[in-house]
Amino acid sequence: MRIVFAGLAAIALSAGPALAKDRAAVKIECKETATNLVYDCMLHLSGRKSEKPIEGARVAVKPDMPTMPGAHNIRASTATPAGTPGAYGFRMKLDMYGIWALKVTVTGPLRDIVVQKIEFRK
Amino acid sequence: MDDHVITVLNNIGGFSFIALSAYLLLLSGEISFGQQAFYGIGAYASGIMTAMFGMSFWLALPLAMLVSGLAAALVGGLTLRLRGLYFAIATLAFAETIRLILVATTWQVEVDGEPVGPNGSEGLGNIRWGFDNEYEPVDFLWMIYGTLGIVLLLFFLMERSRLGSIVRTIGADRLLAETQGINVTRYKILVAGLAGAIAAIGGAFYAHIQTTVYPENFDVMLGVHSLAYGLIGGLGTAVGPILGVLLDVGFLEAVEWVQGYRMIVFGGLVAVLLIFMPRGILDERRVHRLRTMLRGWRTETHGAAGN
Repeated sequence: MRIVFAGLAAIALSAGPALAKDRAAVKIECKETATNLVYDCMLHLSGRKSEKPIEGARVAVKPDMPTMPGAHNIRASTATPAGTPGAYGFRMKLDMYGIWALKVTVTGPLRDIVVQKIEFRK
Repeated sequence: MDDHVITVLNNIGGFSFIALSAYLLLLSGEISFGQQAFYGIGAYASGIMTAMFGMSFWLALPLAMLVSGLAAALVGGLTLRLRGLYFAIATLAFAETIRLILVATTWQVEVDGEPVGPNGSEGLGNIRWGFDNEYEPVDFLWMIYGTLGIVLLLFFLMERSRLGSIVRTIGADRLLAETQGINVTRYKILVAGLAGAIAAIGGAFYAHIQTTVYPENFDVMLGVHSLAYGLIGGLGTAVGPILGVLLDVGFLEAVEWVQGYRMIVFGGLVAVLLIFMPRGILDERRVHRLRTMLRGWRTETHGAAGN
């Protein structure tokens, strides 16, 4: 019985929240291209505490529609450096207009996940 | 394996739990438009436990199932007298109540200097157990399908057991079940609770893959889909609702031109199937035929091996 309790305690405590020392602050601006539902987006990445732009990060952006969770399986877009420090650009094709949650996964100098809800209109 | 394919498979697996949950209720003769509430309770409860209180997912998952199962059993108990359309509307009303409670709920604690917890319409974020423990989507794939395998095995065992016969009898004719001495009330509450617990598994996985969940994730659209999966795939076996999910997420995903019109195509698919196959593709008759064929094939194989 003691072993069972010890096992349960180990499972319960094995993975406490270990938030990164600094988190990513993400600002996304998107503009529809000449093609309907295709957006050119600019992502500004900085440290939440340091407020310094983060360069050299690998950034992936995956949209999901909150009102239809998991129903739209849109490929993640890879954001690439766009000239100014902390700026990354990416193109994204959505299935429909409306509110989307963009999951931004950052790896490299800082590792983080940030989700942002944005409304996309025609 | 390609990351996108893994994401699609994870979604198929995640939806399978809520589809099985609605299927279990359909077997007992109840149409629920509210299973998304238990998916949501599973997502929020497990997310709160891992993000706010630092629990492991593997402990949070059964606890979330318990919370959701108890809530579902309570709803099952309260709606015992309702049947058919009235039951369906009551479950929908309950689900909308839960969603609105989530919109109105703000409860945050500080974890490493960050506010963490449900924040009304902004949802519950920072569900980082998978991310902090460096779980990749492929790891979630194994976790989801391992759990789905266990749930399916339990379904197959249940369908061959006395409990399975009782549930199907209640679903076919409640009065007949009562005249046979079956305690319908007890079994209805049990089925509702089990269905709630199963839906919670899908929600818990969804929350930990997405890392953020919103109240609108659990609106009526998800409930309608979960019900439709069983009706499309068939009520003859637990594989039926999973076939329904595969047809929706898998097939519609594969056909690119459909994607912008998926709800229209999905609605049409449900309507056509319900006209020509009222109890779905894998209905009881087809499943029986398949089983007989399989048994015959096995007998022939063993007979040939014996000779």
